[in-house]
Amino acid sequence: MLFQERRIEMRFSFSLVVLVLALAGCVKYSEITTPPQSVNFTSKTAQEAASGFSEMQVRTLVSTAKGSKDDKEVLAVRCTIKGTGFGASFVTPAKITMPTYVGTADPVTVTCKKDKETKQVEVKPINMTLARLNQGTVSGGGLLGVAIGAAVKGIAKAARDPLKDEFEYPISVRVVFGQVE
Amino acid sequence: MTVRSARLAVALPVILAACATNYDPPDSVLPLPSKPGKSVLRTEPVTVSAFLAGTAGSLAELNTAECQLVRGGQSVRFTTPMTVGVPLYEGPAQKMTVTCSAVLGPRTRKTAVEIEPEVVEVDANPSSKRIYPASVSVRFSQ
Repeated sequence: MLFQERRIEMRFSFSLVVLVLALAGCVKYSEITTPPQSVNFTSKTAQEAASGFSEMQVRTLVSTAKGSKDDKEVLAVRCTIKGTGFGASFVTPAKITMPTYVGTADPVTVTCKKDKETKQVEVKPINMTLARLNQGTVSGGGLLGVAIGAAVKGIAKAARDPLKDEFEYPISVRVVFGQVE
Repeated sequence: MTVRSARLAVALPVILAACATNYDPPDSVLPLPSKPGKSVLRTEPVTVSAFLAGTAGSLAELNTAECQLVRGGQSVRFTTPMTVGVPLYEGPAQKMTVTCSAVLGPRTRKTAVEIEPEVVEVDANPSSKRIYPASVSVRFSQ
């Protein structure tokens, strides 16, 4: 059993190395030199309900025929972000300081315009509380350990207080032009 | 049980300590005004509670939802949880509507629930079946 676990761990480590190498061959992003930009609140409720802030990078790319890993980053594209009770206008690439909420949060829409093409991306908030609960390892103790771990996780997820769930927007958003939808 | 499983089992009570709070309605019953000129047979208590339903089956009761219970031309406003005294009249029972709003995340959300009478006709017999459910849950989704 211990041998099998070691093998699983080794495979996982190997996958991580492969992933890092694969990512190294992906799109090269330019450095964001502008300071993080704040959003403008248009609703008092949205402003007062913000539990904190987290940074979200927005980049614009042009797709190529070769596939997404060959997408080319395009700079200085004008974009807007519109959420419930807040928004911002910016030029890509940009770091936007997004509000975080507890209980619930709404998706935001990022709209970018390059030449005559307009692209819109809906960005959904991530339930970080649930993500953290999902992340915990359940590899120990063989099948029984996995079963117990999964059961504990399931109970924890169902028993948690959704009013305390923390929602954040993703750390990175890509708006790709020339993409067939 | 392995050490990891044991750790998880120990962690469970700690995780559950973060469980949602339940609230009791006030002891007093809030009356729904009766129809003018109609004689009230009896009053039925209906407890209205509001919940935020999260993913994976999690649920939290809200003690801040602002609600309005409406039946015909009569209505009553309250904050959840609340027990409303619903007057009953002889004849066909009417449906009621509960509309609630609560500030959740960046905005005020609204939701409504219709309460259908469980019995079509209200009779004068006080031991007869309930007309409306004893408790009504209003749910907001995450």
